Amino acid sequence: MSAGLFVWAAVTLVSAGRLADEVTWARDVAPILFKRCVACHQPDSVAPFSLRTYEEGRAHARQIARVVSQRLMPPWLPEEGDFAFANDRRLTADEIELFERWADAAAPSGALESAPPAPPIASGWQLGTPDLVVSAEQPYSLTGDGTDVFRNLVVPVPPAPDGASRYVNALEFRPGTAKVIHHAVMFVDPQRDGRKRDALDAENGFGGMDVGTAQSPDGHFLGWAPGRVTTPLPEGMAWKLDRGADLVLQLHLLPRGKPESVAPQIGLYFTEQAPTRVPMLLRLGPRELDIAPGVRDYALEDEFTLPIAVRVLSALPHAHFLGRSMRGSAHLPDGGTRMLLSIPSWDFLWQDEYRYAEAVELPAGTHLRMRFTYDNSADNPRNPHQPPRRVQYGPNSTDEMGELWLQLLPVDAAELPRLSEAFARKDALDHCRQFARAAREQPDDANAQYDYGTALVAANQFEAAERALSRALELDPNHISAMVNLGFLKVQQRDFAAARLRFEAALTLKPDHLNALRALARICEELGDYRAAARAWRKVCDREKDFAAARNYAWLLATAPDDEARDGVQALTWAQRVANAYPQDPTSFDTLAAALAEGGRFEDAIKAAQRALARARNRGDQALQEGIEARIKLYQARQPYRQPRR
Amino acid sequence: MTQTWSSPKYREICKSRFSNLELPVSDAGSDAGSAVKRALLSVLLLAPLGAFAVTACRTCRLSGVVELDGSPVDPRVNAGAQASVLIFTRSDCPISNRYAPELNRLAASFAPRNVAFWSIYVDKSQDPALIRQHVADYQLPGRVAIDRKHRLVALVGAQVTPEAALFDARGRLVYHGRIDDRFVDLNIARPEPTQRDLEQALHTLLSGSAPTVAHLPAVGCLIEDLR
Repeated sequence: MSAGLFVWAAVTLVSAGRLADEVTWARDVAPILFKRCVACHQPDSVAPFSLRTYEEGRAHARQIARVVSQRLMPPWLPEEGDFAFANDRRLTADEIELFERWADAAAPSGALESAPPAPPIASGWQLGTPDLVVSAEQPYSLTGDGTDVFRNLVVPVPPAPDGASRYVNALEFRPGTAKVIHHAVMFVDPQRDGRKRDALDAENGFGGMDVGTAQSPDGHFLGWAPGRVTTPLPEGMAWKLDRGADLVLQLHLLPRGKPESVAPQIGLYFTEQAPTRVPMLLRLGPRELDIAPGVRDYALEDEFTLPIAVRVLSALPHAHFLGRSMRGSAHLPDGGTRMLLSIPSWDFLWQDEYRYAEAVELPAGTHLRMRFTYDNSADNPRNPHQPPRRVQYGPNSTDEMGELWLQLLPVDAAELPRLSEAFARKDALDHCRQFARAAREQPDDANAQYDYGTALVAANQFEAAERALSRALELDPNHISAMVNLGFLKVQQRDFAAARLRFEAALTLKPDHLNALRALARICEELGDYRAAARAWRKVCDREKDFAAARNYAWLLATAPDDEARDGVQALTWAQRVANAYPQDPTSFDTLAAALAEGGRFEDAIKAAQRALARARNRGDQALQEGIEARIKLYQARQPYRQPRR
Repeated sequence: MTQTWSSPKYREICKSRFSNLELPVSDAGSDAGSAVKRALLSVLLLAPLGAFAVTACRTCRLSGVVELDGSPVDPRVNAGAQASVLIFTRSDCPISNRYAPELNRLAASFAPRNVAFWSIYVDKSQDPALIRQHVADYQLPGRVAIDRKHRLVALVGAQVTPEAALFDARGRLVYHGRIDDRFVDLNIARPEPTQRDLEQALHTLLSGSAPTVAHLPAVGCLIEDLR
């Protein structure tokens, strides 16, 4: 009897203990799902299924346990290092164990009425109604079959009503209904080069990862990935969106078995406040990369010593399908080493920007190093070439790259130029090394010589640059770009007569080469040939709406020391156009004033010059203020202004 | 680079636990007894549920396997078909969905040779309306069934979606596992498969011999318990 009671008590206790220990959706699993997973795993998101309800969780319980224990989900590549990331998505070991126990117990629900409420589904613009919503003119149609697609869509930005540039302090990306956008990167394209690339094929946008002249604006990465929370930029860190610039939207698309129409939207939030803190994107990673087929452990290394103290805000690594591991480290002047970022197992599909929870302070003299490794063997399943082939540096996903971008703020903003100059020198030398190899390997290829020559110009190695560019011209006497760059090289050396010959030769072959025309106009001014300069400016103005060219043309017609070159009537026509189009620019009204004075309308000239003066004061342009004040005195003495003869 | 079917690597896989598995149906031949013993032995050792399914279906139809209109069906045997391909699937598995174009290609290329294609839905929470929509969205080839009690799952030993099962004209399982080797793991996919295993097994079967490989593990979404 007593033994039976004992057994009964023991069984009861054990099952009670089991019940208390049982992992349930309501008590244990739902809070983790809601915190870590449902930002993506909600209806109509990029994730393949929603995990907001018990039934949805139950239907994937074993799969969830497997992917979290393999740390495939939530997607997060860096291993734990010396600095925490603000956007860290990793689960704790305890959380993973809960998922495993829940699946093993066949996904019990627990008391559903006691479960926490699921977070609200994000809908609409997260930051409120944007000041401007832009999108590509046409959606992109993605087929259901095949492998990853990179497509760049040109997104025109209508100009502000007053024609001014704008400052963007937040950008929100909305992927639309298609579940195929894996991630997106946005660039600003002031030269609208993307439109030319877009026109090359019948489909909307253009392919590949090379976005031409488009760039990240003022040291900001503009990226989006599912689940990323959009936040406005910190105070004083807005970026400038120039008038007329397009956005280029680079989409990484994953075909999902059925065709999809891709039509994302971008919301822009503007601020009146011009930036007071401009970050810089520092790029580590040689552009020279050459991996023989079969090599399993190719290493790519780079380094840079910081000339000033900085704060590192974020890190963004990039490689393609051969990339294996990535490390970025800081070697401090006191001998210490800090791991900025370490990714033991790179996955091209889950690239992200890693933002530090607190900015990483690095003193002047810190030595930054990057080391990436690559596997170009047949054993790398992601290898785009089977059998493996030689792979070199290049922007397409079948080429390879290695970049570690660091977003930095100088501790002392006034020191930023020292950092940018030091970095520009390093970058120019990198470019030289990249193109030197191609020039060596293809000594009879005019373009290879030309690329090398332009890289040498940027690195201030003028003599070597002249040799390479001249060699390109020997190989291809009609190489217009080589002529133009040789012209710029001569300008750099202040040999204006020689430069003029180069530009004139280029213009014989291509009469509407705008950069050559602009350069020729300036050179002729330098040489004192004001009539030739006026002819060149006129050609630029006839071909393109170019504020600087129109203003320079009007200025020359109004103020040339050479009587033959001046034309007061034409000067006034062009100066008025400029002032109408760009009323905020002080030089617009300074030019209008000079044209009015040339025509003898000194009272009007003084009024225009005073408007110019007020705008120059607003801008804090001391030299321009002094020039305008001197001209006002001339106009008051009823004399037109003449620029000094050169 | 493409490995041949009889390459040493594959011969080794042939020694895997399912290599001799032969599942009898009601019209099994005279050696059915020993086949049953062999099947029972291997399945009993490795998959108790599978064993239950095999014994249960010796004499009955596949219980709980229905078409979208609810009518019971046995997708293993299709009148006039030389072979039947069953693809275990669910609507919300991204890997399954990515195979839709490949399945269409296979169905089109084997259509002249009387191969029946079936999509077998395995998730209990997916109702016929949702499945109909999914089949239409992805234009899945062939017919559709729901395996409500996981009888087919157990019988084949399917682990994930998508997973293929190939039956001969008499309804005997001759191959099950991956469709091809595109996915190496959930997060690792090749740009192109180097080995199209289901297609190869079909060719071998239609040429009159039994595929030499009975099973290759598939990568995909784990088939969840029914409880």
